[in-house]
Amino acid sequence: MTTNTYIGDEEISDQVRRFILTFARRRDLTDETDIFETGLITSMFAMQLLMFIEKTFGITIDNEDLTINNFNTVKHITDLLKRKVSS
Amino acid sequence: METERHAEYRRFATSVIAPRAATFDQNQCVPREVIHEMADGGLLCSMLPRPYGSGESSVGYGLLHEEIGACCSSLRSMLTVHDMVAASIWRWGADWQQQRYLPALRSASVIGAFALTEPEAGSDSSSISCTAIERNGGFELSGRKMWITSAQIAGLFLVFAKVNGQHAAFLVDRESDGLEIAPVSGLLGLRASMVGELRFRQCYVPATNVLGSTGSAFTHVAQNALDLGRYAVACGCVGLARACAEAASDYASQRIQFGATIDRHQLIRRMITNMLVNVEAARLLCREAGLLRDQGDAVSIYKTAMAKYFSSRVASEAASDAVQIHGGNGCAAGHPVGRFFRDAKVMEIIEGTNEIHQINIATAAAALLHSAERR
Repeated sequence: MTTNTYIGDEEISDQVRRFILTFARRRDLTDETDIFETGLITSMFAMQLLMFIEKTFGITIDNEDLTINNFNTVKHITDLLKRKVSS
Repeated sequence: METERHAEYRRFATSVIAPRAATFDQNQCVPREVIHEMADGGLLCSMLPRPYGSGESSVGYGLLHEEIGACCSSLRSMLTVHDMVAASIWRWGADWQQQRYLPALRSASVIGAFALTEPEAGSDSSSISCTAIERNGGFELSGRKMWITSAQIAGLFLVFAKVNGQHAAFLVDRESDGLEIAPVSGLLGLRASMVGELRFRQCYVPATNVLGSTGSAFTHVAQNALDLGRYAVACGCVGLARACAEAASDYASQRIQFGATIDRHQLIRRMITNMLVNVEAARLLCREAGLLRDQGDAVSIYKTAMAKYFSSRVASEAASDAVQIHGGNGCAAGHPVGRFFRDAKVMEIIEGTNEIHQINIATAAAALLHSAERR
């Protein structure tokens, strides 16, 4: 999916969660699990996540979006995407 | 189109760089005018969109590094870090930073260098100890950076330091007060890549020279640049391994022992065959990584790591066999394989050691295997 037409919150969360699980492989991953603090991912993952987000949802992540709190949980990522997609 | 560009890259490398590569290595220096010749040929910042670059594809960019890497790994390394700085400014820089620095980097009026590594922070690059303290509308940088390619001639450094424990990236001019640069010589390989140490003693950098946002400098600014660097090194290793295969094949076709050219002997043939096959395999890995990069596919980051890991090993093995095939001649000046051997070893260390890549690639096993299923 490479469009920023309307998609539901649940679909956003599902796509993000599936992507993270491909790398984190943690069955107890919740929407509040801090994926960076748990050490499940490598230092390269942050850029991977950004590339996935930009390509999948057709948005551009700006410098002001680049705070760790925007990317450390499924919920935070979803919230960021909702803001970017709706704008 | 890509074939024409590839031919131009090869022409430039073989006519401009190859005849001088041994001298660069011997003198531990790449003259600045060579960088300008590259700039005149449109080879700097080629991966950026016009007018800051040539709009080159990732695959094409890889071919550029293969061709230059086949001739001179030192110069290819300098091109890599220069472009890493340019790519960082393009991706994360404010408009005015792009307008100020990108044309200068494109024309080589400024040479860029990437300053992350420290004496106590190599593979563990997030644990840098360089600090930046807010002061007088800017920051004072303190600390050291080590093994900085092009440091001896760079005019612009992309420096990573911590602000209150958070990673930040700074664009630092060479002439900044409080910045000392010491050359590092006598390296095993990449001897001509003008490596140096940077020493920051309360070096003042204006706040406007922060690149990107504080807190994301390591995870995004550095990682994005390192990803490009890995790809360039991977493709450069393909060139280096190819050069080893060419040198070994040429030598073996002329050297006579036991009444025949040594390429008639089976054990020599085995080494040459292994080189040829591995070069092709490495090139295909690099090409796949390049195609995925052009598609913006997130798995490209691990594909690039795979390409770098494999290609650097291929280059090292090819260089070792090339020296072996040359025998005593391979250990003496006058044949390039000795330089290839030294350079190849360094390739297994820079832009992520083989061991780090082995650790990281395995963490993405599920994603990589799933990616393979989709193709």
